[in-house]
Amino acid sequence: MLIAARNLTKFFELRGGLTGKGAVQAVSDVDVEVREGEIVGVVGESGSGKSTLGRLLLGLIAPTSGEVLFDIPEELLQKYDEARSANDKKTMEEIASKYSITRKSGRELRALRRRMNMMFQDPYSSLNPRWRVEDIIMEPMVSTGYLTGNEARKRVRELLEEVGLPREFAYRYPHELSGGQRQRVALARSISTLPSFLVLDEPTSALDVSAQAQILQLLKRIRERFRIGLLLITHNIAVVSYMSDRIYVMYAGKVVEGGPKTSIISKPQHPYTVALISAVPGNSRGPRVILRGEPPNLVDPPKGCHFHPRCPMVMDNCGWTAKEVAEELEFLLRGRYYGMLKEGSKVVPQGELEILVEGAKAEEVRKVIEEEKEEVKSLRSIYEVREGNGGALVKLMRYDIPGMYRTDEGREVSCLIYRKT
Amino acid sequence: METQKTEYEADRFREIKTSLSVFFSNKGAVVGLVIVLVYVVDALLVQFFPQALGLKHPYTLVSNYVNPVPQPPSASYPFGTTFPGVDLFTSILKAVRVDLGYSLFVVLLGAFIGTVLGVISAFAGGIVDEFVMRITDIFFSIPYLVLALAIGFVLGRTLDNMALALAIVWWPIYARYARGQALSIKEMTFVEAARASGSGGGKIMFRHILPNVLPPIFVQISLDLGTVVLVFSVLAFIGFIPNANVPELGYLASLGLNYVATAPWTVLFPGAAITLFALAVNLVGDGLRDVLDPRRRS
Amino acid sequence: MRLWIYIARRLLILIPTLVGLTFIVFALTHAGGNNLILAEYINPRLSGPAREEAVAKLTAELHLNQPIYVQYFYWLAEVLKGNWGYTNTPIFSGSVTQAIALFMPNTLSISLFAALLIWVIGIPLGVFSAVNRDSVGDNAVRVTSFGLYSMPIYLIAVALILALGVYLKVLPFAGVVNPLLVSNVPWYHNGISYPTHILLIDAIIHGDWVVAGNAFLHMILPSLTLALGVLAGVIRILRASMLEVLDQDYIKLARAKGVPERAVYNLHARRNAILPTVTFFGYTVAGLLGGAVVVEEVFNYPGIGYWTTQALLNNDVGGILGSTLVFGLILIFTSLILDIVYAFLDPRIKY
Ligand SMILES: Nc1ncnc2c1ncn2[C@@H]1O[C@H](COP(=O)(O)OP(=O)(O)O)[C@@H](O)[C@H]1O
Ligand code: SF4
Ligand SMILES: [Mg+2]
Repeated sequence: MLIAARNLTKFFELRGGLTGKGAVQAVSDVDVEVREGEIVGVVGESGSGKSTLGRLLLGLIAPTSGEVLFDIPEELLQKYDEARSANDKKTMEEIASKYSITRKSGRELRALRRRMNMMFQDPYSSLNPRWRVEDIIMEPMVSTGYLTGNEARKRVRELLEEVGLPREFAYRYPHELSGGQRQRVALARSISTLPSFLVLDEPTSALDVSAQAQILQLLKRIRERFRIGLLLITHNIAVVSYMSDRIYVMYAGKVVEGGPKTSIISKPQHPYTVALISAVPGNSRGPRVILRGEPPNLVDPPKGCHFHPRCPMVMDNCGWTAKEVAEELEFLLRGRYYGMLKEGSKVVPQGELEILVEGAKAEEVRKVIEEEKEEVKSLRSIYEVREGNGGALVKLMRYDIPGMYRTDEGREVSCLIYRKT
Repeated sequence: METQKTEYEADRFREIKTSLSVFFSNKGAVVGLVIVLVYVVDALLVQFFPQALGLKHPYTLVSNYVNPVPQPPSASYPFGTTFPGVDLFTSILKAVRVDLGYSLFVVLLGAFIGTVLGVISAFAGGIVDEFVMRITDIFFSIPYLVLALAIGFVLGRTLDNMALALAIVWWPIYARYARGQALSIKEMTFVEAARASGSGGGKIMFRHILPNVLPPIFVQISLDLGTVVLVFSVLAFIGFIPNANVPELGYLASLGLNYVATAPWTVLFPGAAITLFALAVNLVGDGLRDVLDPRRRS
Repeated sequence: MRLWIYIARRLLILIPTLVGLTFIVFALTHAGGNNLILAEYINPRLSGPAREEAVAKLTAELHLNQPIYVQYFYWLAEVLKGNWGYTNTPIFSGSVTQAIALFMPNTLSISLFAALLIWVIGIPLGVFSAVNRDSVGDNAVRVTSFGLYSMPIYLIAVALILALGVYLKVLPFAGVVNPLLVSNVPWYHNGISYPTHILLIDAIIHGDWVVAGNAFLHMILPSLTLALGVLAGVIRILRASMLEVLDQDYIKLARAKGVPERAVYNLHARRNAILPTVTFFGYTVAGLLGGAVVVEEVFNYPGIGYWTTQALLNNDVGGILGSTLVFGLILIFTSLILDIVYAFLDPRIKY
């Protein structure tokens, strides 16, 4: 296996204040894999943690927890996964200490740089404006000691040709090139040491359509010629379906679905993937699903399934908590059921799973819930309403946290619908 | 290979041409540049060919105790004389070299120390950054003129030490400025690309960040030079260098202070010489700022 | 809540700054060697064994024979107790704290007067210049402030002396008062007035309006010089920040809604442009204090600055570092107060 992430997690601590203000949970508990010569697409909306995942895989930022196993023999990876299921920390540690790039020292990591690289979205800021193209493309070769001096210079000319640029461009400065030409230079830089793994972070998002198509074709050719494993990050389903062999779908820092491209595109399983694919223009499979609301705040992401507040298929145990339900209940009681809540009374969440509707009768609240359950899905998580101290006490069921469930051949989905009971 | 080089050179040439046309479209900057050049030529002549200006003692003031009282401007003394019988015109010609040279020294040394510390501070972050910034805070918490005076006093009251003291109080400005620039450049993707390419901290700091921090620093230097020339002459004026016989504009102005009511030229001419220079430098600095401003370029 | 956290953090930063200031002053005091320090205490006429004995005694008394970091704490303890050493200059000889008590009032009074002038002249000019951008008036203001910005402060002083003092003869330009007026006044000895040491106020206290008027006239030129020295920077900054505010969307909105131009400037633009100027006021204070050194020297105005230059000319460590310390303390606490005021004024501060 070229590269495999296990339980990879990255929280960005927010600074400021005397006590700190929590952390952005950019990537939480993610497993991904890329094989030699394979193109793996990562899709998801902006802010879902795709770039962070890419930087973690290359060891550009240190993970909060989890491992990135690089160039690990299949048997050992299997052994690691078995040990993980059996909670055998010792074996896991043994394997990770040898293969995980998070354990490597700065120098070892720098040596690994020859074998992996990254290409970035913004062609304007990813090239140093004060360097010539030649120096830019040479940088990985020189820094990793791959080639030096005249050999490196000679190779720059070859690489320029490889990415479809004239040799004379070696003497130019980035601001003298167009966006597409810059991305070609960036590509030439990232493949200059013939790496075996490349992360492409939205390599075409900043380009116009024709330049985009050219770069994508170039990438395919390069992959075939050099058998590089590519992780292609994008928010564009069309790009992913054109390019990749396999796909991961990310939502709010988690991988929600993964598997072979054709099967995912033709038969998405996770409700988020369904919505994502239905939104592609010209899609003929099924009605378009429009998601309500916005992506969650990653400092305090939703409990249970991160997707539950927006999920069209959401169930009673998907992660509803007292805060969310209380909000919706209060909205109803101050709106359609105006008058039921007395002046000055509130709907107060008590802990994670209990709500006090001040000054209300259990009977009345129960009726409202029955009537609205169909429409307001969060109310389905209520299993009991009692007379409580100073009002009606509403009790919620305990929610479940979805794991990764294997479905069809090579597919995995993180949705409770697919949990095998 | 030949044709490639020439094409590259053509590109460079075009680039330089835009910069020049932006600069020369600013009339003030051009006037400033001409004045600065006059001062520079004068300084170089005094340094290397004093005979060309007819100066016999280019590095000292020539007193005339026979007639020490300031004389008004006349044919033989175009700017008059100051106490003790010193011809102001030739003295100002000599003094330009001293003021220009020392001010350049102050600004360049301050900028060098400050830029290096600022870039390191921004790049290292954490405790190092906090430490350097607190030190600059401390320097900013004392009026620079007073601090320079105290440091120079401890070093010993000579012209060299005065310049050194000024450089010591001047670097924090550059440290803050360079740090701010470096922080924003550090966030640019090409720095991360460099790390992904295996470049180490030193290379990133000095080959990626520093070259991008320098151009705005150069503009800052040109803007600062005007201020430093003023502060330098002010320190000399209040008597920092004891009984010096050096041609320095602030010192020259202070010689006539006791006669100012009857012989105003003794202060006005040296003062005007320094004002003109500071003004010219400030004009050039404004012009350079335009050159670096991307909005003006396009 | 955030505001209080911000203020707490700001107070926390105060500690290293104060420690740093004392470090610098201590280091400079001692960098010159023990002889410079001892010189303040030992009668210069002493020589031979008598002198050596005095040196040995004082060295022990002042802990000068201890390791340097130990000396710092002894020194700091003395400073905190109010013992800042001795100063020996022609205008004053005695303890540094006494000198400061004597000279500081004069410096403060011309600085405050100058600050007032800056406010009165600077704000209207800066606003005028921004509002009438690129007009003849704006260009005049800009050229003038550019010129002032390029003048050494002593030249400003001399120009004012020549114009108002020598040719027009409307203002006095040396000292704090005409000596003839105070030669027989009981509350004035040896150039020092009592009880506040600010002649203007003391004269008013004692009902001597002639002296008060004369003292006020003596304040005008030094204060005006100081003000002009700092003014150019104030106008430039105020104009720039005013222009920035005028370009902002809500101002354009107010205009589009038909709010009269004047109201736009006065109600919206000016209030917001003043905020950056509050921070800039820190620069003003530093400029005033630094400028005071030169101005007091030129006008023989007996303030801290005059004392400092006298100390410099007489190789007096106590005077130079005493003024460094006191100037540092003033600046540190002014910027603390300004930062806190700024935090209260600026709703956007989110620390
Ligand atoms: N260096 C960082 N510091 C703090 N938060 C970050 C940092 N990098 C990314 N984030 C946050 O992590 C989340 C995921 O970001 P990112 O990985 O860039 O998403 P994507 O690439 O899918 O748009 C976002 O909420 C982003 O604000
Ligand atoms: S677990 Fe499945 S059904 Fe439940 S909210 Fe998440 S995606 Fe929707
Ligand atoms: Mg991204």
